[in-house]
Amino acid sequence: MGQFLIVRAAQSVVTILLVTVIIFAVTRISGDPAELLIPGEVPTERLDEYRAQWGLDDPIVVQYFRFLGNAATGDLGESFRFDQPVSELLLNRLPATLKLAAAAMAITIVVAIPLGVVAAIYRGTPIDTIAQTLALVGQGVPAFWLGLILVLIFSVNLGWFPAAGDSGLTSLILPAISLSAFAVAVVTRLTRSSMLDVLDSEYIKLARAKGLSEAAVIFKHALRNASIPIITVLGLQLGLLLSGSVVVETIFNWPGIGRLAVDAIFAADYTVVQGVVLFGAIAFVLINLGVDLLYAVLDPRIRY
Amino acid sequence: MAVTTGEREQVVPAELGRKKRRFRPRLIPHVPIAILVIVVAVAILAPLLAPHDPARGTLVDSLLPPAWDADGTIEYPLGTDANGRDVLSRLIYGTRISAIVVVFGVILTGLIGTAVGLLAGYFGGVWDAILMRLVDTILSIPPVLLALAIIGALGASLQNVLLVIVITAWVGYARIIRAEALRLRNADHVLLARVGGCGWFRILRVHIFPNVVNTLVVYATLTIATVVIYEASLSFLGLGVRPPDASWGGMISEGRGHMNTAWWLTVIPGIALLLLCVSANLLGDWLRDRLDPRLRNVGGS
Repeated sequence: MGQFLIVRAAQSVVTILLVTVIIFAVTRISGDPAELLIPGEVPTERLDEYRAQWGLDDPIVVQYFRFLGNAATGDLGESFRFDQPVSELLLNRLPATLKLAAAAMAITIVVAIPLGVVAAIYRGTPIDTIAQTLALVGQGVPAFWLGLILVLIFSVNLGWFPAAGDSGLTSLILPAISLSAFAVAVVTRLTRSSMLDVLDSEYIKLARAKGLSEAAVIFKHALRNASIPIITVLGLQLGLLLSGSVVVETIFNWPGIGRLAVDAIFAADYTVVQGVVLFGAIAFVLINLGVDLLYAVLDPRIRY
Repeated sequence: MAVTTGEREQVVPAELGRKKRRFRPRLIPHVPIAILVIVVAVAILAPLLAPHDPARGTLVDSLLPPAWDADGTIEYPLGTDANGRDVLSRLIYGTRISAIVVVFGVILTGLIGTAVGLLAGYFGGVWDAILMRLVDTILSIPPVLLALAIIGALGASLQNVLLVIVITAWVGYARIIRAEALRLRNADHVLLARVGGCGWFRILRVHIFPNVVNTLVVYATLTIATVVIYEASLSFLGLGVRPPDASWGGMISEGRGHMNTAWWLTVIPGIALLLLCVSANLLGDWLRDRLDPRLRNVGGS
């Protein structure tokens, strides 16, 4: 276990370093980073001053290591639009994004796992068909469109929920449903197929033959064994929920980091975009690392 | 094809009464294939099919509802948008964007990823290690975030969306095909070919590639919805196809401001997207069950 942890953590560090290289490289593909990082028409002297200030005339390798060093100490540069450090903006906006992602994850767990279990138990019945159809639609529906349709029905026509903004629990429901649709679909399908695999196994036949109640067979024997892949996929979906929030936050005017980044693109405030992308990618790597470690803890067969 | 699948069908649904099943018309894969064929045909024939100019409208006719509404006219079967442009014509031209995205995001990236995966898996060694590190890195940046970084730096356009799709989508193919090539490289028929003096290119082409085609086809079909939704989302955010060009995501974005009065502007292009993506996923699932059950947990999109 210790060795696996070290190897896997080292791999993640390498991946994070490569991610920083890619993000650094992207700021250089457009040509002059000074023009990218200072929005609008600015006099040449201002650009020269900026280049000197941030050392953009130094060799590219030196620039990269400076970028890396700054990022490692939490210095992601300054936002031109807000005149504020990017890291501060990120921290201010992060709770809203986490709240939305947590709500979407809660919906996924509460809806998808029971739905998948029921679909597997009643395989081939109308209940199964309904679950599979829901999963199919959830996987094929774009989150932004689902969000708009929910607003059209529940805000515009019925007036049950606010259409935008963060004003308490009612405003959280529609964005969380839009964000969770894809994860609900994936987790329902996986739960169903894992349960089907397990229900077909010899030890379930034994449990039934022993005369255990159906509830004990399903919950104690089947679901527990089917849970390892489900937990793994839930973890992977968490990472995707965070990045999916870019679109959903924009529709619902949700004050999270996704909307911060999209707004920053339109305001040509690239330092903010870079900060959000870097932060999001690192969070994604760390979540996946966490999932792998959890997997190793849960499944004693996994040893490296 | 029809004959063999017909035979298979009788074996699969064991617990459903076979006789009952036999008389039911099979919706899958016929309906999804029909929808995908229609989309491709519409994309190719767009100028012939569109009743109006998709980019130009008459303001007198703005925000007309679809023809089945009392206020609609048959001249604009699906209504018009705020600029008086015909929704049906824009929808028809919008299929072209989705088709281009599939050509780049599925076919081109499939070719790149397959080539990389075959070479890395077959030869192994240092290049394999380096390529797979690169693959892992790209897979560890959520595509939406990479799109923000690249489009933020280069500007919003269809070309830049395609660039991001190509950068992010080949890695999935590379990883899956590499695993297959790695498995096949020491298979008996490959070893025999090598002993027989077969060159590496011929081994890859004749002895390994045909064995990964099924996996490739299944994975490619299952990624169609992903790339289509990806482009639509970016165009919706204003980071993809620029107005006045018609793309489904862009149409939904334009319709958003009129949701209270003109529901058809947001609903209709979304249904088109949903139909295309669900069809592609249904076909992908069907192909996977037939061709490559091992990919079961890859999942559509």
